[in-house]
Amino acid sequence: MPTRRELLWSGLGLAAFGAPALAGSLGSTKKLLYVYVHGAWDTTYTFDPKLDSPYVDGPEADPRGPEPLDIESEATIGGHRIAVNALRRPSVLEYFTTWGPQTLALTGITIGGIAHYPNRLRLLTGGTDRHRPDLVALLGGQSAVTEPLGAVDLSGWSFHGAQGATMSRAGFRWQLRDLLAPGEAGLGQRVPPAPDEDDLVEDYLRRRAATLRAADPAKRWPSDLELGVDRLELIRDRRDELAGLFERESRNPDDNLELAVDLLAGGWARSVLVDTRYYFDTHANNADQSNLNDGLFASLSRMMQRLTDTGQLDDTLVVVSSEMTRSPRQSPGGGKDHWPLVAYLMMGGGVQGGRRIGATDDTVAPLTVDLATGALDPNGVVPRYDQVHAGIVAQLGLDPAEHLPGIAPLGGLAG
Amino acid sequence: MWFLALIACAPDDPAPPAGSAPSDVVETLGPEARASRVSMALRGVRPSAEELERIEADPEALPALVDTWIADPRFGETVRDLHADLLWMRADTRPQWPARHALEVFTQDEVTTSFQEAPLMLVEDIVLSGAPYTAVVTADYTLADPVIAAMEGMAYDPEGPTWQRTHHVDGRPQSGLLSSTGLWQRWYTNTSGKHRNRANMISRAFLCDEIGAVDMPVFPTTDTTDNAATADALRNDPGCAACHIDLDPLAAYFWPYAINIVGSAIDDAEASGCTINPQNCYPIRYWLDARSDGYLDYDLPPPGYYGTEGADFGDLGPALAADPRFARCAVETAWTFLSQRDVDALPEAVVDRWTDAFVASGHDYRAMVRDLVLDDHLADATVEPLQVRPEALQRLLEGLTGGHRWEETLDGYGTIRPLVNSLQGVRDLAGGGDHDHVLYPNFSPAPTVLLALDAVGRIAAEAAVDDGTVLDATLTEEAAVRAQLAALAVPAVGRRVATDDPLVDDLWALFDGALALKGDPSEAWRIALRGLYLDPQLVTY
Repeated sequence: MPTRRELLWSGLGLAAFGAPALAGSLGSTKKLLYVYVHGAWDTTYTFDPKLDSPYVDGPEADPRGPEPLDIESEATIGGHRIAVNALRRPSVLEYFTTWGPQTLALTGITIGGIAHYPNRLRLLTGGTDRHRPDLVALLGGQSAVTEPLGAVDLSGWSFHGAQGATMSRAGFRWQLRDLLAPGEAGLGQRVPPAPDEDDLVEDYLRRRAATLRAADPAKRWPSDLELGVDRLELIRDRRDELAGLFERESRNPDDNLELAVDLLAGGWARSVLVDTRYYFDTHANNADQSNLNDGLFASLSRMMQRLTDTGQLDDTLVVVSSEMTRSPRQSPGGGKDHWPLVAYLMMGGGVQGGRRIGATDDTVAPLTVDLATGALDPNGVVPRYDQVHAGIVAQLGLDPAEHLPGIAPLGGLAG
Repeated sequence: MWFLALIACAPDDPAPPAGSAPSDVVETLGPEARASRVSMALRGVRPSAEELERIEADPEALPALVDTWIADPRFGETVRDLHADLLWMRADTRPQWPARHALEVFTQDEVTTSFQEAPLMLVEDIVLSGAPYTAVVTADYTLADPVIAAMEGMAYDPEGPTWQRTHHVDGRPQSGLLSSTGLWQRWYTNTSGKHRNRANMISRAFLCDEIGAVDMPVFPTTDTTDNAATADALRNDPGCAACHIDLDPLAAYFWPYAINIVGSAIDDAEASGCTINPQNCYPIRYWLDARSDGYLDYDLPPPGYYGTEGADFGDLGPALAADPRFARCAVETAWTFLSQRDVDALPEAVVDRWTDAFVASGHDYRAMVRDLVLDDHLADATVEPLQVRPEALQRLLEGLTGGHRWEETLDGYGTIRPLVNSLQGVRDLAGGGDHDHVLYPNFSPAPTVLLALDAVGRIAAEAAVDDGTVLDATLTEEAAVRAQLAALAVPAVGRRVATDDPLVDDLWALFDGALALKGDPSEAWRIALRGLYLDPQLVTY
């Protein structure tokens, strides 16, 4: 007779014990890694170059030159037209050289606003209702109990909507680690592991939840509690292993993305939202976009390598995006302000890389596309963020009509 | 003065009680559960055993009890919690002004807590004093404790109460939260933002009509290198004007404020002997009259409120207060916080009724909250249970474990209340927000929420056993154990609990198993309390 733990780990535990919640996975089998680029990136420095446009400022080589490598140019690399500066943004060049063929770029997508918070809501949820679960939360709701963290928000920015029961947090300094494997500091040192005691308390909670569920079967909370306790038990079974993932020297961008991949590769989560921790809001000095993008793409290269090394890329859709892009022209202070477009990079998860969907003109205004195929089409429509969002939902194997009713998904992501 | 006409006046005849309309709620909680939910919503603690007895004897006693609960200091804490969520204050994980220089006599936690809490204390003072809620944007005073007084150079009586009414001394008009340094430093701006972030916050928090969320109807075509062209577009390009026509005049009120003073700027100014940027030395001069017409440098419009020009906060505050959206927004945000449900789920007429009553009461916030918590909609038995907020859980557990204030010491910082402050991460992990990145709570038993709540419960259980005043941790005989468990459960779950209650059955099983595991009665009691403090009937209400 298998033990309860064995049943749990097999994904059958809940069904075997009669709880109504998810025993296995529903719908989608894909994973999602959403990389949020905070602050509004300037994609004219990378994959939407406008060096020949008189209407767009920057990127510019250092006028104090001469530095042989400090040359701005455009080139087609890995199937993408990109802005190249081997001195200032070598990592962008390296990224597209290595990973461009696996990367789909989307540009010229309208988002309908230029304010950070409202735009982030739109970007992550596909709408303006903060009670709608974002993509990461949505997929977390599809997770099996054996992916005990469900969805993980490493950024803090997530909108979990009705999927809160499968949305895990880590704390802004990854204090989750302290609660799992207490070190010298933090609240965790007050609560060292006590497996036998934990088992007693978990059993108590299950009894209590079952009592409450029987008394009021219409309520979701007791069922969510049963599911949560099962997940908690599995987390505690491998607590040292999970805590070890958070044992990193810093929380720099590389560590953040590496941790995100490891949470997916280790089967801890179905989806992860991660903030690069670069802050792209360059109102005062837009030249900083070179450094920021160079750092970002270096981190993305490491992330892609790790996804490849761990065999995750085929099943994991990676979405990289920012809440908006930046204005074509520099303000008098040398910075650039907000622009009501968004751009995406997508990798893995069945998308066809080495190409771009959508485009902007010389003034960084969006061009029209055939929404069904994503191909540029003068008789098409200007693609919107919610349509891209619906397209991602479809790419994840879910029904966009259910999650974003009335929004036609952008097609062509898979080629 | 134009704005005088906008000041709302309370009518002579009070409106009928807000709860008098026929209810559309199909099924409501029983009297005991209803009282417990209301008490938790208002104070974060359960009704006492005596109050439960009153309810049992007379289910109609709830309104009278609500009156006493609203007079409870813990209601004041709830008011602060509510406004911390609304204004995204208590953002203590953000860089803070340093506890150095003139503030070196304070710890960093004292400086941070006072700075984050000051605007919330003002709201609490207004609400508890019975002043109209409109005073949150019009009050002619501010509040300071010794930290804030030293930080901003305000008059302060060391013999008086810790938080006392005083005034800014840098020339800013005194107009409630509009004059709060702490609030606007939380909502800092930048040279390009031009105070719009602050204006947008006003529209979101006080009008529930966020300007920045307006959909841009048309794609803009503007040369942003040209100030004049940009200014023209902000007024006339439909893509820009959709937001900016209202946003920029509102932002113009804030030009005298510093855009942002970071801690290093204070250190730099102090290091120069206050010869460079002396306004950044303690006491900080966050407001400089000389900056008041800074909008002219960018051809931006002068201060104004949705089409009506003004001069300073002396105009803005009354205009906000008189805006019909202000009262309705106060109702909506109070309801969302107290019920953990969006106002959109309610019939429009219900919100109208509450709003009308609120206005008719002279914007009496306590009366409005009273209407909300006594309404059948809060007692709707068909909706999901509410989940205790971390801040309320801190109060609840402090009360259950002997009334001790639970604080943790952080090296080099000071002490914090772990479920009120975010620096240990527990508030966030337990489902709360840090109001920096994590803006919205998660009222679900997610695995990491359970992990954090369990850690908190373990610590509280240990405190209760160590305290020894709330239980006898030597008992082992079943009848005695059951009796004590039942007594301990009443203030934890907020209902009468018999010794054969299913809750006690489960607690007894936990105790019995723990005793078998540990062989030590006090350990068994600690584990039983750990279960109780994580019990779904404690965590929800």
